[in-house]
Amino acid sequence: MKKCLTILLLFVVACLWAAPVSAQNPFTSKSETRHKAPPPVIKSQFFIKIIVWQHQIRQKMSDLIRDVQTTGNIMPLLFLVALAFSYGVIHAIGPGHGKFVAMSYVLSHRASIVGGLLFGILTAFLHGFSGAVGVLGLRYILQRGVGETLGSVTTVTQIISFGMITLLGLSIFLKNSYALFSKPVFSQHAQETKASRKGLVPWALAIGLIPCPAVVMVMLFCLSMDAMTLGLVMAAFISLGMAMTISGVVIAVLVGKAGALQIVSRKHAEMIEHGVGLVSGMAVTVFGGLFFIAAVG
Amino acid sequence: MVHRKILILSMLVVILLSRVVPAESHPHIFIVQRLSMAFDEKGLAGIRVHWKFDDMFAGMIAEDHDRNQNGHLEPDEVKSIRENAFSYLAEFNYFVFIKIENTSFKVKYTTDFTATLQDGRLEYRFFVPCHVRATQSIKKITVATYDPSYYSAIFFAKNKPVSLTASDACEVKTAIREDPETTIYYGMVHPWTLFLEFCLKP
Repeated sequence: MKKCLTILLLFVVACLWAAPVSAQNPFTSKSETRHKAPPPVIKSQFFIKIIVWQHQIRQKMSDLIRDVQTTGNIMPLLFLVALAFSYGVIHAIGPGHGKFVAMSYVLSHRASIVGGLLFGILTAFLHGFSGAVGVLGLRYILQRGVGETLGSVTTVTQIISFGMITLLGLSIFLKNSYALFSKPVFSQHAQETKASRKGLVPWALAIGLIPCPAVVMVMLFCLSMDAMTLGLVMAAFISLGMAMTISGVVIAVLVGKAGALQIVSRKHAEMIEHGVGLVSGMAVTVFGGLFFIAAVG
Repeated sequence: MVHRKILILSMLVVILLSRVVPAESHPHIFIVQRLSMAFDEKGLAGIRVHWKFDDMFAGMIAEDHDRNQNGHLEPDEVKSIRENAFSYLAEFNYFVFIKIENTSFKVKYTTDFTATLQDGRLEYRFFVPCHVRATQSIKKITVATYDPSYYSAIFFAKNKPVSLTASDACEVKTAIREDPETTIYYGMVHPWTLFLEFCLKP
């Protein structure tokens, strides 16, 4: 009964994170190029406060960037990077940013706390810097309009990202199905630990591939102020803030998982672990597939 | 016992974080708006909308449409903005949702669109034609401005959010408050709405 409850709890919590990575700008794109997500499981007014905070931080950041550029005064820089970090933390609390997939990864792999931390950092920096690099590439290499072109770039990266996520989810599902139904589970520990660390990069890549719209906006603003280096510094600190939120979620799940598994015997723990892996693999496959179809369509 | 506490604590943290997860994308564009209710000799003629965008979005639009990068928008650049960064809003009623006596009014087109860029600050101005004849009895109109996808968040300006023009022939009352009957973003947000009442002066 306890085991069923644990699996159910983990699955429900995992489902709460099911959210799209980004929707596209209604000002610069037609509605058919935007995808729509399913409704949230839980609604919260706290979210409205986050919106207001984001607005305030963003306005403050743009004022300070303008101040640094026009006066040459570097004193506000410290405050500016602190703001960028806070913005990243708050921004990543919102939907998307791969938290659901990241949670599924740690639920189905034997990742350590350090591994979880690395996972969060890698994902956030890929997500942030794909935005920054995308802006610089479009402006300086392709010399094309960023706002409009980035919409189609985002669609392509969404297709690749959701495709990768679907395949990775399918691999978790198949691996855990095989371990659960066809093979004795005891012999696999060492192998799985190694595999989980080796496989961290494609997961982070799948999540982080889509450019972060927040970093794109900050980068564009800095470019408009002729402050590319400052834009890259801001992108780094926003990414660091996002890494903190994503890592926090990943570590909370890891601790929860470890605590849950220690309550039961080793044999049952492994069965539960594979059961949870199977369910989260299935959830990742289904959601990844749905978003993939929406992005292609 | 300790493990159970750790388990409960970590689950609570995750569930707490999960509570702030809505479904679609959070706003990436922030708009502060002012509305001007334009009257003529027959009654209400329409609504002049004035949007001031956050600096980040302004930077994005300037990057793409201020082609000579002189920090100002020339007529051809304004035309480019209208075609590529405004006209798509037609699918969303131009974010202006009007109800006349509780009946929805479809905004099919707008006029007098103009965009300005001054010191890196971007503003849009446009007119939404909406004719409502003034009579001796009170006409009730609501104007809610919001992005249904919530990619953009629209706030009323704190200072003079609403003004009236050429309304001398009418008695007009305005109020701004959240409309509990309208919800967006899966029921989480009640958009700020202008409640307008007017009738002919006796």
